[in-house]
Amino acid sequence: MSNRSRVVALLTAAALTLTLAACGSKGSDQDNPAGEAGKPVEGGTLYWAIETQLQTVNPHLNGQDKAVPVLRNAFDSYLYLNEKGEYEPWLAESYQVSEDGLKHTLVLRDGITFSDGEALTADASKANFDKILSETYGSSTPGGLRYLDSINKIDDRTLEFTLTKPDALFSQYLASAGATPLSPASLKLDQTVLESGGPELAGVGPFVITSYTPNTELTFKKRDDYAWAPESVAKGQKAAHLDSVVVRTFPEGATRTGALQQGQVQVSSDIQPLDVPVFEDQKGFQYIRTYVAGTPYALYLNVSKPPLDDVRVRQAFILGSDLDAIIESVYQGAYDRAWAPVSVRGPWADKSLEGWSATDIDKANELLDQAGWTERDADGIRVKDGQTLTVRTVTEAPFVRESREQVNLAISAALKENVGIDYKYEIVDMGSGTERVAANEYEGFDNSYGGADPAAGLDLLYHSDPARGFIARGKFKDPKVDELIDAGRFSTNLDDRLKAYTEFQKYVTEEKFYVLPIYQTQDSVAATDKVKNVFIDAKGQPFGAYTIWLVP
Amino acid sequence: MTTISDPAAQTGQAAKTGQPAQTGQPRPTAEPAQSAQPSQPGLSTIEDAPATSTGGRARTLAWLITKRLGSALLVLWIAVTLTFLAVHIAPGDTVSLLLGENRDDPIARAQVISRWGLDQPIWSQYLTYLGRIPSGDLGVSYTLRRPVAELLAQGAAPTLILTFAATVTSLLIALVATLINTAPVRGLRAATSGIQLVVLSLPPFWLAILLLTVVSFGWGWFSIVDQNSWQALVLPTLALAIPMGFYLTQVLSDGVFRAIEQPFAVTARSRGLGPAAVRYRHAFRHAALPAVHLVGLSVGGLLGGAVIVEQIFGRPGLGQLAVSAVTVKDVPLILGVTLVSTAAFIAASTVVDLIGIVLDPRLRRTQGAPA
Repeated sequence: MSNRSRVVALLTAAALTLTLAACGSKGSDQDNPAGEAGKPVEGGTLYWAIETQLQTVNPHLNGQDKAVPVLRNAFDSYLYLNEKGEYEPWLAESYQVSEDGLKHTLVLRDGITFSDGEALTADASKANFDKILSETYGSSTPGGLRYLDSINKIDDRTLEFTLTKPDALFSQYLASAGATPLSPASLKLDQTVLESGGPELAGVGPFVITSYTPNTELTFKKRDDYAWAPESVAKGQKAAHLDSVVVRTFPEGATRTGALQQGQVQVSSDIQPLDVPVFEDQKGFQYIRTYVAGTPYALYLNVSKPPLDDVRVRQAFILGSDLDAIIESVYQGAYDRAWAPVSVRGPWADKSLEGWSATDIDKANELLDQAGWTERDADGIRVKDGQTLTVRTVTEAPFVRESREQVNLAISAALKENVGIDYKYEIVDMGSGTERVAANEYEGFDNSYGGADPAAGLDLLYHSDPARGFIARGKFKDPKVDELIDAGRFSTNLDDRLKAYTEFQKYVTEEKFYVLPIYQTQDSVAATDKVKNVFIDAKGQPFGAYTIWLVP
Repeated sequence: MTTISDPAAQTGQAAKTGQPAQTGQPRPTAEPAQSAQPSQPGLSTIEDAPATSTGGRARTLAWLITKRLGSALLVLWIAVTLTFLAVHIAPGDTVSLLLGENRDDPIARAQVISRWGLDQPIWSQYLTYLGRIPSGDLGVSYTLRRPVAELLAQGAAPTLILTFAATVTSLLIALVATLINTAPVRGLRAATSGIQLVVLSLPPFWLAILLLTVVSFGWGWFSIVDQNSWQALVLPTLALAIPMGFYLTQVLSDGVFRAIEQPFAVTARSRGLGPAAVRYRHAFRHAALPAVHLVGLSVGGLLGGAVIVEQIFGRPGLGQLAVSAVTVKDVPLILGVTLVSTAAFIAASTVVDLIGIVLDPRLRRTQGAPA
């Protein structure tokens, strides 16, 4: 079997340049406007403002999406996932998967060292996997390692992983920041030091952490001997251009905007929609907006009970919500409508779905009449057998962001006026949310899920297996949904996966009306025009500060 | 919440210890600002101090210190207990908050619960926590995963520097503003108290954002980015000190005006002192006492204000730690911040008591020193 191995997506450098040249996704989504030609300038300190307070700076344990661009500065991965959904070499110089997808052979690139001088060997790498899989480290096993059966060291630079299922999320895990190896000495540090991270940890990235002030600041210094960035990012570059990077957390949006305007920082992530005009198309600044990969912000309909167990009611709900107009009026162009239930970032979204749920009030009313919701109460809400047509979306307060409340209130007004549905958006605390779910006292669940590969999000949001669909609050329990998700996840053939996901997306939208995709989630970065060559990765996030240089 | 309101404590003291009320110098304690002021723990204990002989002074002092320490411990215990209860009564489930997107993953839940001992009954968690405090073990933060004691040590310095700078600045503001305010110029007081009212009614976060936007981002002064520089301290200090300073100004000015109207002022004038000398040598001293006590109390307010200011200016410190801890119900960190800020408050009120003794000879006598 291993004789007939197939190399997964190890592209040549020439082909990569083409990949990146064509990586724009859609319309206003610009990818690398700052990547214009010019001679790199070496040296300098970059100040970078972010919104997120990092929970830990141990890359194995952090788990915050927004922390990845920060941690990338000091922590590399085995593989690099490109815009086409293919894996390229990084710390691994080659990566082969057997025909049945169960044996993954990874050969480490020669000459890689941790920042404490130790070499990245098969033993060092295996020690990391053992640590990550141990019960006492962190709080949960990464989803990508779920079907990992064993790890064997073949020689000093080669590891062979045996899986019990051909899980696409395994390769994705190898490309994630969470898989980055730490030096063997770091793994032996005191538990609290190791778990909280900071300058004590030695990694393999282009920078090393020099200081860490929790919630406030993380500083990095360049590694002169670094030379192993993925080719499609590095394009020949070895060490980083900048001498040092200071990442500052400013939780207040106005503070980030002001600090960038004044040049106190040179880059700021998480620009608030209101502040976009301050930087977009303004002299002296650049504004980069990117869709992020994963699933868009969407509403999942609970099909386990009336009224949404009736597909006609679901269809009417979706057609009557007048979402296009709402997105336009709430965001004024700062966010874009999503149509597919998978992000348009990357190759995964079924773009033919555009317009599938276009507003059709007459049809919606007709469907509700057919479904027997013919009477109306004093407020104009439809009634059947004494029950009003009420749909409650229960959401947990920490996830209410990006003007989601306004969007849902507008949907509520539209549904009441257009079709007589009483739509409620109920914001509760985390504990109460779990209780409401346990009691099945809700009809809708809103969510957006980030992830370079859709398999993780689709498992969580749709799968009927309780060990996989943790937030599958639509309670679809639909064998076809499970089958298509499995076909997409348990295959290492990209074409097969794309096919499964396309069918899946059509099925859950225009056939079953399980989900209403609302807006495309995005990242935004603004910078002064002195900042050159910000690189946006396949997930839609900046690839740290490695590629950046500052012109005087 | 740390002290019991007892506005009459000071006047009561003088009477109990048999001090004849000094003729022509009624205490300023009857003022409205003063009556809102809770007694300082130490002050109210002074009256209980035995011994008046010189030999008894050492014992008196030891007794005072013991009582002061005892009441400090009591206050700390109450603060921690109330916070512990409040965190557990507040809505939200720590495990879900820690796990976020994975909150419904049963395996992850079980791991988080066993890792942090959240399956223990609440009272047992409480007792375990209290039991560990004496050894300096304040637990490990659920989110930052560092020992809380270490995080507090790192976070306390910037917050205390900020609070101290703000206190000093607010005193300077109050002194200068009171000098201007009480200058014998017709109509001046009306004008200045108008300005005071406007400043006092500004919400603190708004003032902070205003300073940041206008001074730092508009004029380009005092960059906030380098967290260890003095520039980064200026605007947060002003954001805290300006409202505080104007508040003190009100109290101080009121005190000065009141003192000038007292008979002792007339007596002093009749001894040949000029109006300015009466104002600055006598009236100020009288007015200072309530103001100083107010400063002690306001340290608590400044620590609270630091929460907002640190958030807006992106400064490290206890406020920053508190906010992030509260949002995810990181219990050990919340309790740790409570302990440190309560201790800082107690320390500040002790210092204020000492200053009060220096300023007011009557307080010294109540300690047993022969007049």
